[in-house]
Amino acid sequence: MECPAKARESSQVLIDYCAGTLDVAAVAEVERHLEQCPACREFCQTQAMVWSALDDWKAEPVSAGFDARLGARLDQTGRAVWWACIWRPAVPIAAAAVVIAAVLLLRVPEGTNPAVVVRKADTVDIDQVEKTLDDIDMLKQLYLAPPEAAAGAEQL
Amino acid sequence: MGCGKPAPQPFRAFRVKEDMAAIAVERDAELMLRAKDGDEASFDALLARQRGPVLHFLYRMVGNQAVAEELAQEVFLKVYRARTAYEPSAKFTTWLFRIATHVALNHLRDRKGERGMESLDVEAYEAKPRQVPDPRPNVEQEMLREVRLDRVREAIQNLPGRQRAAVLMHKYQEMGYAQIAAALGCSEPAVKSLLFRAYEYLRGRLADCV
Repeated sequence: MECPAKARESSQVLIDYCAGTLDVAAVAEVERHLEQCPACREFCQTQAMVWSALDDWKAEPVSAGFDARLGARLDQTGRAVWWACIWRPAVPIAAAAVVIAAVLLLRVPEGTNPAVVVRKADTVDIDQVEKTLDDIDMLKQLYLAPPEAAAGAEQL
Repeated sequence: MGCGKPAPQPFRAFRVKEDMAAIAVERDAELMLRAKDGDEASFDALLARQRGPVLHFLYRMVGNQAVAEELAQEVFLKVYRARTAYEPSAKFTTWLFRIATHVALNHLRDRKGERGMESLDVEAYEAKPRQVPDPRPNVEQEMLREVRLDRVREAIQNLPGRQRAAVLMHKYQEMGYAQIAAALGCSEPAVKSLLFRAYEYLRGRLADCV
């Protein structure tokens, strides 16, 4: 067995030996080497002291309120997720419902024949659309006019 | 033998320990998969099993119990939020400690620029009530034990974050090199290098602790 203390790559086997993670065959091989190698014996002695010191370092117990605090945060997380799943699609749906309701309330006077109202609304709408299109054409001509024409328009 | 370590366990005891570890691994994955399907009770059971190990790991990483508890809550919140995406491609504890290591290293990095924090941590240790496991009134032994504990805590806190995490997972969680590598997001040779350097430093700092 190559001396682990002399080769960094193989020194891990001594750490594993001191940690008790080697199998029986490997332990036997290491112990045969330790009988003949004082450097490795010293390595193992100091490593064992480190291991023992780390063993003495006990962790603090969990505080009494840990579970309650975590439970509260988990509940908030769950409510936030649930609320987001409801809120996100609800906003556009609600907005669409408001628009539809507003259109219906504004466009259907009481006691009128819906069919007549529909025809009158169509007629009024068409006139309004034509007027709007005429206004748009006029504005287009104004913005597309050469600079001299625009300046003349401003003087006027 | 010069090392002074306990005799290696018999083969049968070794296999029993391995079998129990395997059962625990399967149990954790099973609970997490049930939590993924919406079983809150399974998540609670998983929390009860892993709360202690995670908290103890974070306590030794950051050196402050209150901070460790806050970080542990962050870890379990992340686990809860990510439960729907969980896949048992690796051990659950590997995934869990990857999250815990990430949270701890982020905290250490954020705290790195703060001055005096290490001294505050030492004061926090000193303010804690002393543990007295040995009822025999041996004052000298107790004093030596407290000195050694203080040096251990200080030595661990002086390790760089990744070396510290590797040592803590190797020593207290008994994780193998492959598992530590997965938790740290590096290769097995890198883990062995981290551990070699960390233990080399600890042997130098703690060699005269008897």
